[in-house]
Amino acid sequence: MDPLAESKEYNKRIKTLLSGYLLPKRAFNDPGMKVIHDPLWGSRLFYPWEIAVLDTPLCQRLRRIYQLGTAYLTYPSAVHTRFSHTIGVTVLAGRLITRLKEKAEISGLVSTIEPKHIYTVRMAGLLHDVGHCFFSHASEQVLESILMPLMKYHNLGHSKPHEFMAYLILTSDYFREYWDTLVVPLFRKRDDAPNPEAIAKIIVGVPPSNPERFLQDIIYGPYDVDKLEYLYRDARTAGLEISYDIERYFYKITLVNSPADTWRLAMEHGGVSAVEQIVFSKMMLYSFVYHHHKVLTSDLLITDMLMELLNSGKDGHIIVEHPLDFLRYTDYDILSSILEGPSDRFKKLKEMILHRRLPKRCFVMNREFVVGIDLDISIKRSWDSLLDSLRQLPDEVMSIREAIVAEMNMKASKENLEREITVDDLFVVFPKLPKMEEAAYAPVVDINLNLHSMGQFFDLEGWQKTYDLKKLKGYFYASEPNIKLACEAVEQYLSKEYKLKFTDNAKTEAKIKP
Amino acid sequence: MLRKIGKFEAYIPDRNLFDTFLKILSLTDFEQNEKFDSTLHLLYRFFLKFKGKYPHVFEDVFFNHDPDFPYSEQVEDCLTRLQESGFITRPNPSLNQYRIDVDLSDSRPDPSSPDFETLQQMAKDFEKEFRIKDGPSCRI
Repeated sequence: MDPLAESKEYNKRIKTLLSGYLLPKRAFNDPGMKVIHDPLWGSRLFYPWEIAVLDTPLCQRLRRIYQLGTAYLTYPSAVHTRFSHTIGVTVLAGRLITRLKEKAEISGLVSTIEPKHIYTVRMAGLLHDVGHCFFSHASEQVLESILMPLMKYHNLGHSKPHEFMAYLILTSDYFREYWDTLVVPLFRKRDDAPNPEAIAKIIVGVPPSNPERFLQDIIYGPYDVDKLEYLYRDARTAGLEISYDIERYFYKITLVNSPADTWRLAMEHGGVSAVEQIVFSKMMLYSFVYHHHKVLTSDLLITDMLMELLNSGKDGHIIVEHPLDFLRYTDYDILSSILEGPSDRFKKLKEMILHRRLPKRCFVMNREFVVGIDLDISIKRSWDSLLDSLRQLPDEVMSIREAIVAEMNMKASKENLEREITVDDLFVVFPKLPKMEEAAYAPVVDINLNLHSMGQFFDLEGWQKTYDLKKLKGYFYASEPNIKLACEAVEQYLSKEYKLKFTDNAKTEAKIKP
Repeated sequence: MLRKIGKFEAYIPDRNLFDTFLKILSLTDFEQNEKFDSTLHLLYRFFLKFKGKYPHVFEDVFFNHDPDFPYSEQVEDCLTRLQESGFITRPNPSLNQYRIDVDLSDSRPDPSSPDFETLQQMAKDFEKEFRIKDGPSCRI
């Protein structure tokens, strides 16, 4: 479909979607200010217009989308949702911009921060995740390739699918009408009301204007509060002891006028150590939580459920006919015990999640486990080709699984084992390294107001990448009775198809005795 | 390139930056064990400049809107993949250079391929910008 026609089709469908999601609820009456209690950030005040928006089904649905997907199967307390994260981001955005305003007023350098800016950046924090779909991580993986032509048409190829979804919602005619009619009247001065177009731009990382670039920096950029919030919340709920000095971080962030007429965020030299703490925390979280082998395996089951939903002809109460339909459902809907699902396989995968019957590691891959990789370029190429194959879209990875399963069935029949092995007995993942390079060039301002990059003060990108390359692992998993069989079949497959041999570490890390 | 994911058409880029950059590197005069400058903002700017100059080659490389550092996820992925595969490394203790760890002559594109001249030009530009001025002393 041509992008213009497709864009119009999206607008039409957004209208239908939002007609159910922007029910006025209490918005006709002044909802008043409210205090929301958060275990991380304390009791915080929310403005009437924020409460009006928070109370819509559009935002309330975020209560039913887990921030860390199914990581709660590994870390039982990691059950926080996109909603609580949204509350935190709104609070931190408000705290940061207020601190910037105080600093600007005291120093007398600038007077760029108006009440409208505070309301805009808080509202951007509040709405920054409204484009998230059920099982955010798995959905994003698939939605990226589905939405890309339209994202390119809007010149937003750099954004993430959920950010783009939020952009489509906030720039739609329906949302604009809702905003002007029901939200703007809640502001004492109409001129103080944020512009939804500006909020949408901030969410996809585009400055509303050059002088207002700092608003985007607060929500989307190397110093954004989104990162500060999720790192802290994810670590706390996972029980991981990380800490960083958020007060120092806020005190040391400042506004700089560079290039001319552009106001943006920069860290004062004295705040560099606070940034180091955050980068270190991020690395720890990847190592202990996001790339934990059990967290990855439950994610794989979810991805298979999603693919089953998309590939199966039958809908079973969940109807995903258009990419925007992803927004109709939440994690709760997909895992609901009353949902029949489109197929028996979907039901089986769902039960594996609900009863925590997770596959176990049968083969662990790491660059250092590959025999002869530093000596032979053909091995390097094979390793690269393997990583590339394992990071393709889920249905392409499925063909690798099918080939190994066929091998497992052959072995099983040779050994007279009476069992039928299917693709649900074998899973594989090789995660990507966390992205860090943007942080390496976050601006740092010295006492003479000259700008430097963060990388000049500590070799952030270099040491992080070196560290992660050593630690990053990929995993094959198998159902419990098939672990040994799977291990042998995987080893044979990698040797035959990729000419790769692995040291015994590949097995011992999977707790298999060589 | 379009293909199907369930009911949906999915877009898969025709070419990826990793393959393109590998071809560019293979067409430079850099030899195995030679190092080139890994200053990130220069590398990102370089690709941004290329995107403007050769839009068809870099159609699926996207940059953010930062005036200082035009970050691109595709550029980061490409540089990471080159390191993961062991084609380049950042030798300690100085992490501000990349060392080419393999003989890249196998990656050279076919001279009859349609983009050959473009890639050759890019290779010249790349070498001019990223060759470390000390010359042979950068080799191990």
